[in-house]
This record gives sequence, structure tokens and C-alpha cells, in this order.
Amino acid sequence: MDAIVSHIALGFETAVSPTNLAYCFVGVFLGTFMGVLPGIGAMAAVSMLLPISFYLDPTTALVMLGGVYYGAEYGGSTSSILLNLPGTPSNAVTCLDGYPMTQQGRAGLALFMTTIASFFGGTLGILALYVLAPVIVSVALAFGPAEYFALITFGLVAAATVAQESPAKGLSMVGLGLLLGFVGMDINSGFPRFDLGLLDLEDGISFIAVAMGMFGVSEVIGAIRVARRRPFNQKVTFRSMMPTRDEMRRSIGPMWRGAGIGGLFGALPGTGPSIATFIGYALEKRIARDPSRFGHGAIEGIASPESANNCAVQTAFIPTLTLGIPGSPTMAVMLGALIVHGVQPGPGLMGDRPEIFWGVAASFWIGNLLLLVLNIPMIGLWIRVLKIPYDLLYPAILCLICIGVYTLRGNSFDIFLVLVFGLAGYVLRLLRFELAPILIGFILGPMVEENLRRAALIFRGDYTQFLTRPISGTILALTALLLAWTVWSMVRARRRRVAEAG
Amino acid sequence: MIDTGARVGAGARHSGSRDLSKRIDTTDLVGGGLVAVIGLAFLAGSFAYEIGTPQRMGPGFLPMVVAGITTVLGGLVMLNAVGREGGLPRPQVRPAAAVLAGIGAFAGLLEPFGLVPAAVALVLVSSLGDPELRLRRAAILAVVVAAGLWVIFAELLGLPFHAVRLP
Repeated sequence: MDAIVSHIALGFETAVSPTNLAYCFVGVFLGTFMGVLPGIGAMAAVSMLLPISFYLDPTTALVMLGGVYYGAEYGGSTSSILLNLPGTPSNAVTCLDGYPMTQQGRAGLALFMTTIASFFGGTLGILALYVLAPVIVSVALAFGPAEYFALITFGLVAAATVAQESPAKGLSMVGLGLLLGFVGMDINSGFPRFDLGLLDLEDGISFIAVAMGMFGVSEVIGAIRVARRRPFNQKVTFRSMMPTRDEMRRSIGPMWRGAGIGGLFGALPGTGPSIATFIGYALEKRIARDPSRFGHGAIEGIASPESANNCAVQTAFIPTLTLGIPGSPTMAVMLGALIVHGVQPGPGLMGDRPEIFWGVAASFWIGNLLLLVLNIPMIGLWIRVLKIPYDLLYPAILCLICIGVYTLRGNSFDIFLVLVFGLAGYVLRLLRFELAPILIGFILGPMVEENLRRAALIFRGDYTQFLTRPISGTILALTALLLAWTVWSMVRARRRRVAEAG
Repeated sequence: MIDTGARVGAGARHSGSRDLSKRIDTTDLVGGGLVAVIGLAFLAGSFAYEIGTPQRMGPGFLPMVVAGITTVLGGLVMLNAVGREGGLPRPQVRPAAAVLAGIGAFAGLLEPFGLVPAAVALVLVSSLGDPELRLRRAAILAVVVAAGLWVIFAELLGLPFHAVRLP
């Protein structure tokens, strides 16, 4: 217990320095602003502000980028509620009940509950970070490459199979991501692979280009026609925001459950806020007394996903900071930021640079508080942003994406990559494939390979040791169980389809 | 919520045919096929590198395995597509083409000609994707955006961009 207190003390000492406070505010503000814009989600926002963070010291950089992350996740829900256009993929679920609430004239209420639920979930997530991180670090110090391999493989399978419409499609997307990750320099042999003879590909495909193309550009393409049809004209007053006692009472349970789900899936590598929101929503619908209310403005339909979302965002930092395994694609960008600053995330971080670890954790409190306090009065500002016609917004967004990608390497080739992956992302969406698993496969692929080869070397080719070592054996067994369960559900669903048709 | 447009062929839902093998989800068929083709391409490519053995993996080993699995998965998706109904999605060609062409213009113009021409080109070309395009509005937007970008990125952030230059 005193360990936690001393961590909090150290953390706040770092976090309340004027620089860190200022950049926390900047991050939260810019993040919310970019999250509100349709077509730019948390990942694009963090990626675009990444170059700015290069000039800051590591703690401040993480403080700012963290603020951008959860700010953007919050801002995305504003667009979901008011325009039925998710600002971030994980806010898609908020549209389901948020937009009907707007149509019923309850937009203010929806926005208010989003803020409260986000703050609630975020607080619990940060608590989880404080409690779990030291535990994980102490266990992880005994981790070898076999354990990392098992954990990452579990993450890959989880990303492909949890809450996916078709596990086969999810797994094939993870496969594509892994293959894309192979492009570039092979660490073990020094050979460039799959580079098509192009010098620009020898170092691999720029992750940011893939992310911005697949998520940003393809989202923009889809939004152009849709955004035009939905002008928003309501007036949102402060009084309209207040929930009735009944609505408040009905939201508490979903907020707790959502946070639980969010915390779990945020902390697992491979699954992140998006999946947490889907599962949270599905759970609420299933246990509700009157499920037919969902999709028509049920307050539980917002409270749970938003709490899950923000909780997952906070807990996603746990594997990222303690193990060096990104808890979600956006976390991969954060990891990149850390590495650029010469900070090595992993079990050693907490011991070597505690002021970074706990300072960043403390700044999350501050940032979430800022979100709560600022966004209620500033809601008018965000609404005005959304009223800007989309045909004026999206070319600007595209410019920001292109410049953002260019500033990372100073190479126009990366912008062409954005084009290629924008097209690929759009086509894949049309074909009803999920895109997040590709990114996860892309980031985790090189790590999987490195750890697998290293472990094979240490075990001298004796693969049974993966299973006999307790931790890696357990995780791999869980992975196999997950796969088996997925296959079984697929078979069962197909049998049901055959029976219904026959 | 991406608007993928109407589903072509969706009207064939109640074709009255009880024969499952005649119903195909075309979307998944194409999707699975695409994945399988990409998997095969990587599989073929992986043989250019030394494969090695499971005990001593060469650079081509894991790509070969993953590519093989991915190809099989693509085939699985195609198999699952039999017995389900579904048509092809209708892509929105104009927005997609405009956005992508705009990005291409930016990529091609940025280094030789500078930030301003590239940004103007991107705004103008991508604006063509809007079905209710108003040319004058787009032109003004192009100028404003280009100027704004210059101020933020070159002046405020000090990044090395040329405003306009001759190649």
C-alpha cells in the first residue's frame, strides 16, 4: 500500500510541473478537436502530433500524446452522437443509441452522459494501472522470449477472433498484417525482404502511412457523401444536459460493467478500446430487461461503451509500458515515440525511470479531469466545429494527413504509401473486412518473429519447451482454447444456417 | 459508418432455390479470393529467401508459413461464402478517385514544386469528389488551406518546406 502512495507522490510531483500541465492541456484540447472531426480518429491525431513531441522530453511527450489519445476518443463520441458519424472507430457503437437520442432532442443529455461515463471509466482504468502495473512488472522480469512469443500470439488470435463477424476473415486480416510486417529488413539475417527492388521499401513500410491510409483516408472517402446528408441544427442548452434521477440510476450499472470490460480488453495485447465497446454494448443489450429499447436512445447504450472505451484507453498503457507490447495500434505509435526518445519500454522502465512511468500515470488523472471540466462548457465549441460543412473540412484533413506522414521521414514515397493503403483500406471495407487486425498483425509481426527465433535458438530447436515452461505453456493453451472455441462457434453457426434453409 | 451504397444483386434473396450450393455470397467470395491471391504472392516471394529448418529458421521460413496459412484462410472464407446470400457492394467511385488522385498529386508535387502548389492541387482535386462541388468555394478553400498549412508547419513549427519553387 505504501508503494502505491509513494508512486502517486512521485508521479504527481512530476506531472504538475508547469510544462507538463501545459502540454497535458494542449494534448487534451487538440486531441478532442481532432477526434471531433470525422475522418480523423485517435490514431491519426496521435500520429500527426507525434513529430511535435520529438522536441519535448520523454515524460512531457507521453503526457501530451496520452492527452491527445483519450481526448480524441472522447471527441469522437461527439461526432457519433450529433452526426451519426463516428469520429473514431471505437465510437461507432455510440452512434447506435447516441444518434437516436439526438433525433429525440436529447443530444445534450447524451453528450453529458458521455463525459461522465468516460471520466468514470478512465478513473477506474488509471486505478488498474496503479495496482496492476507493479504486479505485472514483477512477473514479467522472469519473462523470456518464449513467454513474449506466447503472449503476442495470444494477442494476435484475440484480435482476430474476439467480437468479429467472421473469425476466418479476422484471422486472414491478421495474416495480411503479418505479411506486410515482413516487408523490410530482416533483423536476424540483415536481408531486406519483399522490397520489390525499391530502395524506399528496404527499411520496411512506414507504419504511420499504413495507419493513416487505411483508417484516415478510407474513412474520409466513405464519409464524403454521408456527411452531406446530415446537417445538425439543434440547440444544446445546459439544462437539457442534466439527466433525470432515473436515467442516472440506470447508467451506474452499465458504467461499472463497461469499465470492467474495457479494463480487461484494454490490457490484453491485441484487443483494444474498439472491441471493448462492442462487447460492452452487446452485454448491456443482453442483460437488459427490455432489450428492444436499444438502438432507440437507451442511455445504457452510451454509458457502457463510453466507460469501456476510456477505461480501455488507460489500461492499454499497461502492456505497452510494462512489457513493451502495444495494447492497441495507437499504443504502437506511443511506443514509437518512446523509442525515439531513447526510452526502452518494458519491465525495466518502472525501475530505471520511475519518474517517467508514474509521472505519465499521474498526468492521466489530470488529463481526465481536464476532459471533464473543460468539455462541458466547451461543448458549444465542438458543436460549432461539427457545423462546418464537410466539403470544407475533408480536403483540409487530407492535407494534414499527407503533411503529417511526410514529416516523419521527409520522403514523398510515404505519401504514395498512404494512397495505396487508402485504396486498399477502402476496398477491404467494401468487402466487409475488419481493418484493425491488419494493423495489429503489422506491428506485432516483427516481434513475434524475433521472439520465436530467439526462443528456438535458446531451446536449440526443442519446441516442446514452449509448452513445458509454465507461463508460456499456459498462455499457448489459452490461445488454443480460444481458437477451438471460435472454430466451434463457426461450425455451430453454419449448422444453424443450413438447418434454417432446409 | 461508411456508406457503401446499395448492394447489387441483393434482390435475389428469395430466389426460391433450396439448393444451397447455388447461393453464393459474392462479397465474401471476392474477399476471400483476394486474400488467397495475396497469400500466394507472398508465398512465392518467400522462396526467394533461404528457408532453413524449424530448428534454424532462415529469413524465408516464417513468411512462408504465414503466407501459407493466410492463403488457406482466404480459401476458407471463399468456402464459407457458398450457401449464403449476398451481392457485391457498390463502390463510390467518384469520391474515392478524387481523394486518391488528390493525394497522388500532393505526393508528386510536394518536393519538386513546394508546399503551396501541392496543397492547392490536393484541395482542388479531392474537392471533385463532392457531388455538389462549387468551384469557387473550392478555390478559396485551396488558398486558405495552403496559406494556413504554410503558417503552421513552416513558420510556427519550423519544418523545412519550400512554399513555392521551380524544380
